[in-house]
Parts: sequence; C-alpha cells; structure tokens
Amino acid sequence: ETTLRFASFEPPVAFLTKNVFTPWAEQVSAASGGTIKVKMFPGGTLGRSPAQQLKLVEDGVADIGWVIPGYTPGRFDEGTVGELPFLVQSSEAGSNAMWKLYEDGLLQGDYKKFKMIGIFTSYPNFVVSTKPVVKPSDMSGLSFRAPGPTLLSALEALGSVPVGGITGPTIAESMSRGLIDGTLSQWGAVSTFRIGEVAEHYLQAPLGATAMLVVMNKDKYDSLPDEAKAAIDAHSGGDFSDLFGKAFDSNVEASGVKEMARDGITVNAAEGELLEEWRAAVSVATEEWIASTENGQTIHDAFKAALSEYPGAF
Amino acid sequence: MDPLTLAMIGVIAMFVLILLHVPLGVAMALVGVVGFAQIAGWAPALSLMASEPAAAMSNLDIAVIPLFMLMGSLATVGGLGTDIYEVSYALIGHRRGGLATTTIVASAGFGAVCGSGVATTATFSKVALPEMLKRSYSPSLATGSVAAGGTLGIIVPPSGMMILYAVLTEQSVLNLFTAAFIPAAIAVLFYIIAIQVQLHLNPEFGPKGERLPARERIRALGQGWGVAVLAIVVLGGIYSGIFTVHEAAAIGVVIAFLFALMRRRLGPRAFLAVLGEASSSTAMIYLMIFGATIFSYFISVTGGADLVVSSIGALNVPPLVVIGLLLLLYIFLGAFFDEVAAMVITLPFVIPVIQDLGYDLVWWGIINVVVIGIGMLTPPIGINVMLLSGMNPNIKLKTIYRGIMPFFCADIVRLALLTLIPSLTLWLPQILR
Amino acid sequence: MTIFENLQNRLFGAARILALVGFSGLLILAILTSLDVAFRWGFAYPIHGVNDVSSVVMAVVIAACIPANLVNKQSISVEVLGSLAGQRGRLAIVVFASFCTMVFIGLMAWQFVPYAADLLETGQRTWVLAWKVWPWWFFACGCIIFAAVVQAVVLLTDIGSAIRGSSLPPKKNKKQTL
Ligand code: NA
Ligand code: NA
Repeated sequence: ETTLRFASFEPPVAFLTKNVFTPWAEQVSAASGGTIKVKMFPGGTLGRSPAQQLKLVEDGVADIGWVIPGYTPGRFDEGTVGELPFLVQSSEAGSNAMWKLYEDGLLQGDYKKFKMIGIFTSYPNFVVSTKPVVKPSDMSGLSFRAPGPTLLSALEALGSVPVGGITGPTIAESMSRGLIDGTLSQWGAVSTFRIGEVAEHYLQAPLGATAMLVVMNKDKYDSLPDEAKAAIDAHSGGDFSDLFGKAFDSNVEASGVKEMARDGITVNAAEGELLEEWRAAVSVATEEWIASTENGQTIHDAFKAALSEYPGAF
Repeated sequence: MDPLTLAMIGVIAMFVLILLHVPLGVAMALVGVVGFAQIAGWAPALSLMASEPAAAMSNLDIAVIPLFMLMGSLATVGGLGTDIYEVSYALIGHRRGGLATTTIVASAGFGAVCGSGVATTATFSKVALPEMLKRSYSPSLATGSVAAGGTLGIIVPPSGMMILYAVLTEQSVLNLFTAAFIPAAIAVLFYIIAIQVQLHLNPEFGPKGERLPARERIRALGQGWGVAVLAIVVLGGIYSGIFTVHEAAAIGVVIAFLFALMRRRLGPRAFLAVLGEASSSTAMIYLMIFGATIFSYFISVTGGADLVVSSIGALNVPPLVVIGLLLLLYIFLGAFFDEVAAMVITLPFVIPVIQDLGYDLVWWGIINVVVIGIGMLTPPIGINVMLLSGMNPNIKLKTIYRGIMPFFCADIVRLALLTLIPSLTLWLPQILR
Repeated sequence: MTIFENLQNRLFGAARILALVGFSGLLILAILTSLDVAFRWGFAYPIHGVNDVSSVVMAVVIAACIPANLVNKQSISVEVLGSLAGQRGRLAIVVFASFCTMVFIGLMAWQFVPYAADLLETGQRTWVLAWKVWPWWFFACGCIIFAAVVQAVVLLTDIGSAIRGSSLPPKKNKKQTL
C-alpha cells in the first residue's frame, strides 16, 4: 500500500479541507482496492505558505496539493481568466467551465506538467468594506487589499489605493486598524477569516473569482499500479470540479445567511443600471488581460461561452 | 521503518548532534532531511534544503526580525540607553535603592524600543553599572538589577523572541505584543518589590542617591525625547493602524538611523560595526529558522506530534498539571540547552498539545517568553549573567548569581501568576480587538 | 604568510564586505518602506509594489549575511560538552561541528542551483510589479555557494588546528543577540 500525502494550507476544520478534500481522500483510498492510502496533511503541516504549495508537489514533498495560481504569477496564467470581473457567476459554473477549457486544450504550459485532479474557481468576489460603497465612484480614495495582478488595473481605474502584502488571515486585523478600507471577497471567506466582525458594508457585484487547482505530481501518478490510477481518475476531472463548485456555492450561501443576519450592516446588490456602471468601470482589467495573455481573446471567449451554459451568466 | 520509531531516533540524533556543539539550525536541518528521506525519498527531502530556506528568506513576517535587530543596534549607538537612564534617575534616583530601581525602569523603557535582551543588558552594563558601583552599591545588587533588567528587553514589546514565536506558530505578532503589556508591567513591579525587600533586609546594599534640584530634573526629562519619539512612533503607529508591524520596524530603523546621525554618533566606523553586528545576528536566527521548519516537516510526516498529543490526552490529568509538567520540562531542558533552543526544538510537539488542551497560543507564547527570560539568568547558560561577567572581568560569576536570587524569586512568582490567571495576558488583546 | 592563509584572509574579508553590502540593502529597504507609508498616509498615494521589492530584496539581504556569519562562527549552539572534554576531545568536537555545518551549507548550495534554475525556466514573477524573480534568486544562490566555499576553508582551518593539536582557532567575539 502506497501512502499519498495530500497537503492543504487550511486548518483541518476549514470548510474545503474538512468537507471536500478529506472525503475525497477517503473515497479514493476506498476505491483503490487497498493499493493506495491518501493521507491529509492539513493546517500547513507540509508547507505553510499558500504560495509554496505548487513547489511542494513539484518536488514530491507532497504528492497532491491544493494550489491557488494567483499566488504564483507567471504560472498557470491562462487560468487567471477566472479572476476577470463580470465572467464567473458561481463556483459551480466557474469550476465546470475551467475544466472544459482544460479538456479543450486551451490551458497549456504548467497545466501539462501535473496530473490535474480538479480545476476550480471560487464564488465571485464582491466589495466588502468598512466605508459605504455603492457606486464605482465611491471606491475613489479608499485603500483596498491588492488582490493580485489581474485586478490591479481595475482598482487603479476606480481610484482606489491598492495595499499589497495582506494575506487572508490578516485581512480582518488590517481592516479593523484602518490599514485597508476594504477587500474583494465572498461570504465564505468573510466567515472563515472573521472579516464579518469588522466589515459594515457589502456591495454584491461580480468582480472576479479566485482560481484554484488540486494537482498531483505526475511522476508519482505514473508510478502507481493501474488499480490506483483508476481510483484517482474516477474521482478527478469534470465530476470533481462540479462537486467542488457545488459544495463551494452551498457554503457561500450558508455563510451569507449567517453573515447577513448581523446587526448594523448594509448589504446592497448591484443591479440594472448600477451593474452596467460597474461593468464599464472595471472593464479595463479584461482588456489588459486579453492584451497581455497569449491566446487571450480565444481563452476569454471560450470561457464565457462555457459559463453561459449555467444559470445567471452575464 | 515504523515512522514513530524513526521520529524517536530522529529526536535522539538531534540531541546528540547538539551536545556535540553542532549549531542548532544545522542539527535540526540535517536530522530533518535524513528522516524525511526515509519516508518520502531523497529527492523530495533534499529539495527542502532550498525551498524552505527560500520561503523563510522571502517571508516579510520574518523580515521584521532583522529590522528590529538593526533598529536596536542603531538605538544603542545613538545613545538612547543613556538618555532613558538619566530621565529615570532624575525622577526616582533619590529614593532608597533608587539606582537599582532606576536601572529596572530604564531597562523597561529601553526595552520599548529594543527587541533584544542581550542588547539591553549590554547597554546598561555600560551605562548603569558604573554609576551604582561608584555610589557604593553592593556589586551583587548592582549586577543583579542589570541582568534582571536586561530580560525586560524581551518581556517589553517589541520583542525578538515574541516575533520568533509568532513566526514559528503562525500567531499574530501584534496580538503577542498587546498581550505582553500587563505581564511586562507586573515584571517591573515585582522587580522593584524584590529590590525593596532586599534593601529592607540589607539596607547597606543600596544607599540613597542625591536628590536633583527641580530645574535639573526638568532638563533631564527633556533628554528623553529621542526614546519617546521612537517608542511612540513605533508602538503608536502599530496600534493606531497607520502601519503594519513590518512597516513599523522599517520606520523605527529610519528614525533610529536619523537620530544617531543627528547626534553625530554614527561615523563610518560605528556604522559598519552596527551593520556587521545586526547582519551576523540575523544570519544566526535565519539559520535556526531554516532548521526548525525542515525538522517540523519530518516530525509531521512521522505523526510523532499526534502521538505526543494522544498520549498526553490518555494520561487523563487536569490541563493545568500538563502545563505544570511542560514548565518543569523547560526548566530541565534549560539545564542542558539555552531556553531559546529549548523552545524552538519543542514547539512542533508542544503546540499541538497546548491547542488540544484548549489553551490560547498567544498566552503560551507569553509564558514561553517569560521562561526564556528566566533562563537568561539561570545556570548553566544564563546568557545575561555570562555577558555581564564577560564585560566586567573583575566581578565574580558567583557574585552575579547571588545578586540574581531576589529577582529570580520575583520571576517565579510572576510565572506562577501568569500561568494560573491567563486573563492577565489575554484581557488586553481581547478588549483591543 | 602561506598561500592558504592569504586565500583565507581574502575570502573572509570578502564575506564581511558582502554582509555589509547586504545590510545596507536592508537599510535602503527600510527607507523605501517608510516613504511608502508616508506617501500612503499623507497623500493616499502609495509607492507601487514595495512589498514586491521587499520580498525579493530580502532574499538577497539574508543570503548575503550567511558567509560572514560562518566566518565568525556565530551560531546558536550548546557548548557544554566541550568544556568537560580534554584538549583533544574539544578539538575533535570543533572539527565535527564544523564538518556538519559544511554538509548543511553544501546541501543548501547544491539544492539552490536547481531551485533558482527552475524560477528562470517557469518565469515566475512578483505580485504587483510583475518583475521576473529569477535574477534575485540567482544572486542569492551565488551567496549560498560562496558561503559553502567559505565554510570549506573554515573546516580546513579547524582540521589544521586539530592536527597541530595546539591551540583552538581564536574565537571571534562570540555572543548571542536575542
Ligand atoms: Na523589547
Ligand atoms: Na539558563
């Protein structure tokens, strides 16, 4: 029996690690006819920094890892299409559309270097702030956590001050001390990172999702007996991406109900004309992404087409 | 090999290497790599020798350590230690044991801009010790108060030890700093009580100082502005949310640098000495962090920490007994290792236990720093005591250790108090959240 | 002066200069960070990507400090046994510790080469400024390789003293600073 190490930088009780990855590990182990055992290493016991996860899988320190491509700019660049505003409407749609791009051969480069277990996006991020934001012009002069290169141009176009170097766990603290006035996030993260304890204003507008991957070391996969490969294959790909997306959305929904019940907060949703105003205000991010990414227009259009198969598409 | 047997052999091998003078970081890294290779193969294990150091080197949370090191060195060169001593003397020097009390208060004040216990001790060995000896203080009280005051360098935030703990356990540095305020105040208070009790028994140990005229006092107060500016900007900036801890450290460096320049104390030679000193300590700490993280990979793949947690759980004793046993363990380890080493090598095992018992890791961090402070005074490796005897060869080691005694007793009472009443530590971070 | 001593002096001198240059970099970084805070706070106009610069420059700063640290033998270690052992035992322990440090820094240097090469090959970039990170890590890698060379000379020096069996190499102001 071979033990496979599945690394997660999240604590063991965090939603995805507890409800998606751990059951996945159990199911794959059970389906392998005793040839493999997938053991979880949550809480960063194999590598604490989210940015480091990819390297750990490459080096074989972990066999399987949960990776956020946005943390390693320059790698998996095609997948950052998921971070563009006004595309992803839900984690289910985003994750399925991502897998379709991969299947259609539009995700090249680093995607080919790993055994892809699943390719996902989060639920779209929206404005979470300590100061009221409704119109795009309200963003002017506010400090926002810089969410990574893709949205930087949009934040600048809005007149916000991007503040770098703020990791998920320090968002709440940074907001309470006024270091930043807000961040782009969604209910799940608002709840996990306790941002709800400090944020007062929410404006729901689809300002881009976070791309995510579960990858496996390719050499390790190739070295496994056929029975083990079959067990992994049966739990990978489009089905797993779909399962992940649905679980993610249901968690966002549950967290949203909980967070919106807090006293003294305002929750707005951008609709109609306001929504169009936001779309125009952040479109620069999409233009820049397409211009700076090889094959950008094709990937963008294919992603958009795949998303339109799901309800709520823009 | 069975992973748990492997973990045991690894821990023993590490202890043997350390006893053979192998630097802590080197011993932990080598054992960690060899052990990890037994489970995951050599190629992944060896890759840790680059990927872990690289992750630590580019981590901005850890980068706070060299910045505070540099700030402390610049503050020392800039004469901020002397300033704060003169201010304290003007205020309390004329009371009984006034100079010893002055040393304690001034050490705490200097500790608010310097994160190092050794640097604080070295500063007041130069500034305060000659003053006390000149005014016929007993050498034991004089050295005792400097050595004990020196521990305030790590007890009063900012503190290099708290940053190291925060980095290794992923706690918020800010929370640790906030939590340290009340314990630091208790430390100062207990040290002053220790001085008074000792002088009650032996009044000749510390004659009263002269009372300065009011004009002199006000003039002396004016000298303290440098320290005040530095402490207010650094600590005030962090708590008011204008900047992060990392930025605060960077700003502290710049202010201390400008201050030393302005006072014309930073010639090329002094400047190079400051850079050399801070860079060498920085490399020393980073090498230890490399080793500690590589070693913790090994421990986590063996499941060794889980075993320790489950066996302690199976003991079925009250949590406080476990905590008491851990503190005894540290005192025992302290007889062989210095306490920083003891903390670093035990963290991978102890942190899961503390979490499992439901204790707060911030609280345990403060307890750990207090224990390290005590270890700076106690044999065999009482770093503050060794430093003092090194800087003052005519004072016997025995004299210094005798002088430590009252302060050591105060430390033990403080440790017990902080252990039994966690809210002394956790109340402030809670209300400031 | 023998050739070896000459080489030793040059290497050790270079190591100290490298550390000074590295830490001057830290001072410059501190100034840059302070300016960023001042602009952000005063004019809501931060300097872009200071964190990007910090993370790559820090790697170089730290790597640059390591060779001089090895020359000074300034490390957190427990030197109890040596004081109990006799002269011979003590010399053997010093050589052994020096040898272990050599293995450690040698492994690091060996592994840093593919690490840095990988960054070049994959084209990894920084977060905000999208700088290529590999040139910085090539430099850091060079510092680590230099550290391994320095430690080799330190080890040879220790072995030399042990064989002569005479006196220990002079200790250079050993102190801890935490
Ligand atoms: Na301090
Ligand atoms: Na000690």
